[in-house]
Amino acid sequence: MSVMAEAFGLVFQPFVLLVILASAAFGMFVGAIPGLTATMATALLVPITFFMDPVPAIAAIVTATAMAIFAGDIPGALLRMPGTPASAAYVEDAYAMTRAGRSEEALGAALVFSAIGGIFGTIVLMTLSPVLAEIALRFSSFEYFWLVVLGLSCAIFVSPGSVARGLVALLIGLFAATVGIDNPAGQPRYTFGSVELLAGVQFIPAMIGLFAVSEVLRSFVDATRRPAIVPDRGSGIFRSQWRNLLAYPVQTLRGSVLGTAIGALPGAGADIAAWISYAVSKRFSRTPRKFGTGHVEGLVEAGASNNGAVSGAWIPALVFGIPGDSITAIVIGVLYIKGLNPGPTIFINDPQLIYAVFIVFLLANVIMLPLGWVAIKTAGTILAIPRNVLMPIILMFCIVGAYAINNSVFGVGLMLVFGVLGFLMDENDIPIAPAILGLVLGPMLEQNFITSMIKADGSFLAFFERPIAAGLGLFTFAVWCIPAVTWAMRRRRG
Amino acid sequence: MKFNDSALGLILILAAIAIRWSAEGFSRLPNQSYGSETMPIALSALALGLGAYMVGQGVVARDGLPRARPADWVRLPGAVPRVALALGLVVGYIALAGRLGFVPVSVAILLALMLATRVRWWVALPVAALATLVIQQAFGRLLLVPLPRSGALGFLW
Repeated sequence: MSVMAEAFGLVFQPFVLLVILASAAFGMFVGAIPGLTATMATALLVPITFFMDPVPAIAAIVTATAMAIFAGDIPGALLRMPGTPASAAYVEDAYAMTRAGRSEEALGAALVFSAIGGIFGTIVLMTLSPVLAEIALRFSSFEYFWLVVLGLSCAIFVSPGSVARGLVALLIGLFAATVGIDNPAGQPRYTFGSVELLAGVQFIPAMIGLFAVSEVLRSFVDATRRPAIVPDRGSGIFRSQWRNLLAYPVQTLRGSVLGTAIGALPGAGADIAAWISYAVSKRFSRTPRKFGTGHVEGLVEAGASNNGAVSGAWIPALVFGIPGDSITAIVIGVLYIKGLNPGPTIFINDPQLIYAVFIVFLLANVIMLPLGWVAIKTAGTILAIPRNVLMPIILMFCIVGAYAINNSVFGVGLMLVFGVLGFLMDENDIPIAPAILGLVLGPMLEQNFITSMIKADGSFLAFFERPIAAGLGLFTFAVWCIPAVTWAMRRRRG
Repeated sequence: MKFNDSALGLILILAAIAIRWSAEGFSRLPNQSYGSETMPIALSALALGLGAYMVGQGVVARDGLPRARPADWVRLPGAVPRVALALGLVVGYIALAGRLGFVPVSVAILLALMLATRVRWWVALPVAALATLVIQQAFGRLLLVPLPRSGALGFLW
């Protein structure tokens, strides 16, 4: 029997299919709750997978992850509370579409293009994984430094409002990232004697605070004066997606390619992929001014990108045993528990298992469409609930979500501080998104910058000595020059 | 509170000075020019430059001196007490959930917030109880989050 036939035999068993279905529902549930991430869904599945064979165990994790990443778009679009960091990149557009009575179109775009990105990523995973993993392995601290700077720069330029206020937000995020003991000299910074702060500002409570709590507080200002959320006007989940696909084929392909490539880089997952893809989409769009106002273009590209990255992250994990993100780090642990050593040898010793994983990836992305439809239709009823009933419940979800990170009320306090901060930022037209990305990428920026400076003995030229680093550096400078060039062109045109 | 460009710039300059001053207490890696201080110093330089730019921009745009004024919503009837109540209730959760348990504190928070936003009590009470039960079952039982238990309601876990 061929390896592929054996792999099909491993996957298409009633128990494995049941596991796929159950973990899809579980991933959808976890991803749709603000504060609970795809990583958390994976971590919660580990004790259950312990009692399974390798194929259903991996199938459970793959399916739950893919679902959770998409499901993060649901609260983002309906309530402006991204369920996962990857959804934060295009939350403004998705929420604006909901306010305009196009919630089903927004979520349908997220669903369909997530599936397209995920399937594309899987095909790349099947065909190019060894080649891509080799390129990713050549990345040193110099390349990572530029990649992080590029991601942060993109966050500023895609955010609505002035560049200066975007930079203020970024500084807030980067400063919050300096808190704790996780720094080059291992010295506590800005912890003020708090044991909890030694671990740094936890990302999830901060994100819940900045996005969700600030929105809840705003709803308490005066619910009657805020424009009510418009129930969907029959935009349809799938109806408009064919039109979107025909209108944005390049964006779909570019998002899928970029997401898969970024996902394949160890340490750079779906979050960075979504942000960079959204920025690229805005940069090359014919209508960049529409971004952030309920334009589907960025959603199409970034949606394809983040699920492409989920598949891409498995490339270094399977080929070299190096995790592409926190989820694949957990998966590698699961594989070891099952007596399988991820790395080149797994392709030789257990090829049927690798192909079974590929098949599961394809199945997970296909099954996402009907299950996502059900989830969107169910979640849509949220909009019918009066805001003065819904918002207190959302606040309670936020409290419990922040508590669940470390099972400590410290997370709730952190959420509250960032909630007030987010409220003040919003009031002063300071975008929230760059602060989030600064908080996520701050430690990576510091680590790679200091490692590079030590390697280069303090010479900045070393950041341009390696070809890929030089390319990324020059591209970053080009991104920085965009505002100046745009300003000069506008002046010239009169 | 709304700040104009000059005021935001001034806040950034003050923050830059504070960060730079605090960075003096951080150490470098042994035999290296870099360490825990590098990132705060870089951030303070960036904040200083950006702050100066924003103050300058405010002056050029004739925005005037640094200014802060209360936001328009502050004048809306009941707005400040409602926002203060929401913040106070979260603080209340932090202080009381460990002692009283998740269920009673959650019901109290939901009820207080709904009544403050003019939901009728006969709607607010069952909704608060049902929402608390759903959250407790979803997080406490399904996701195994150890929510603080209430003595008499321990059977829910």
